[in-house]
Amino acid sequence: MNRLLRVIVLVVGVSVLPGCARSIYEWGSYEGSIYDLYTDEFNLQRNIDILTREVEKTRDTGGVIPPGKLAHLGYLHSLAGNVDAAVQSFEAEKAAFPESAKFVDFLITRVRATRAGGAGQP
Amino acid sequence: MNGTQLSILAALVIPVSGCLAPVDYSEYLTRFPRSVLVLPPLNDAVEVEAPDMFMSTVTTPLAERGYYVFPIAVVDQVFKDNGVPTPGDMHQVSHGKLREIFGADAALYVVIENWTTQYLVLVTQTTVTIDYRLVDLSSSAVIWHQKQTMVHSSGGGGLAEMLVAAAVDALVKAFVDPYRPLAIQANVTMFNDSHRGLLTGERHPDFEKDLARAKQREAKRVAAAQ
Repeated sequence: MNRLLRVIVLVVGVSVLPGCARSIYEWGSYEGSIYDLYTDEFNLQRNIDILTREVEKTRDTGGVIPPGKLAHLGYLHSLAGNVDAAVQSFEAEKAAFPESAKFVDFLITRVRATRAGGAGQP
Repeated sequence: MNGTQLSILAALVIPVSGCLAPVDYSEYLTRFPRSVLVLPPLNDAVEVEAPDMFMSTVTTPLAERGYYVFPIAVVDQVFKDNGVPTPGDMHQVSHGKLREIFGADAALYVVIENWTTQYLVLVTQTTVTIDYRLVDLSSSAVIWHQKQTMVHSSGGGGLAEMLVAAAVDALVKAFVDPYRPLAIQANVTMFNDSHRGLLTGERHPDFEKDLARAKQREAKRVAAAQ
């Protein structure tokens, strides 16, 4: 079993521990992706695909996307050089959580600058 | 991993309870943060991978308490891209600067104080101690400061219990590093502790009810201290 899947199994496992209250958010692989990011086996496109699919599913089923997940996905898009997709995810984070506005605006300016300047990492 | 095995694992993770004197929540109630910036943890433990593992264990329990939690990996990268490469450096950044960049109400400073595993003849014991400090970024007031120690012990009971524990541990190790579930348990237990944990945040459905109760409890504590 690959690492991300192992983490997903773990996260799902922990969330169904007896005695835990019902979750506010649908976490999916958000923290699994954070875990992944700090390993040598991190696969950017796989992470983008999985998180994108989860976000769509949460929206379709009327669930609540957790704080940070869309900004995290936006960051992954920026690493892949997808400026438009990154901005879209950042905007979605801000719409869902106005508390994030200042930081998200900073991230949007930053990722747009990479396209304008065309140099360096986002 | 099935439910029974998980229950057994959960039962083996024991929080080490601290002092029972009522906690002072006056500053917390005054400042009451809506958003929390978790800084990458400082590591005082020998285990070098502890901070990286911890990064993926704190967002879920904190957000489920009702707070907006900034995207921790993105936060980490923004620091690194701006000449602040280590958690030690990040913990030194002024509160005003953190507020200016992130727009956060509060910052959570985490120090991993201990993260060790003892291999004995029939028992493997892992101990994790984490120090948590929640600071209001406008006033620099420390609004919550707690420490949590968790001990995960395999074996130590009767022979049957030991065999079950050994089997469970073998399974967990096959899935992930055994440290991560322990860090998750430490965070969940600490944030949800009814006497010394975090107060229920604004995004939680029980916010109003719990806030009224917290105010009552604080008034009682103040009255008792006089």
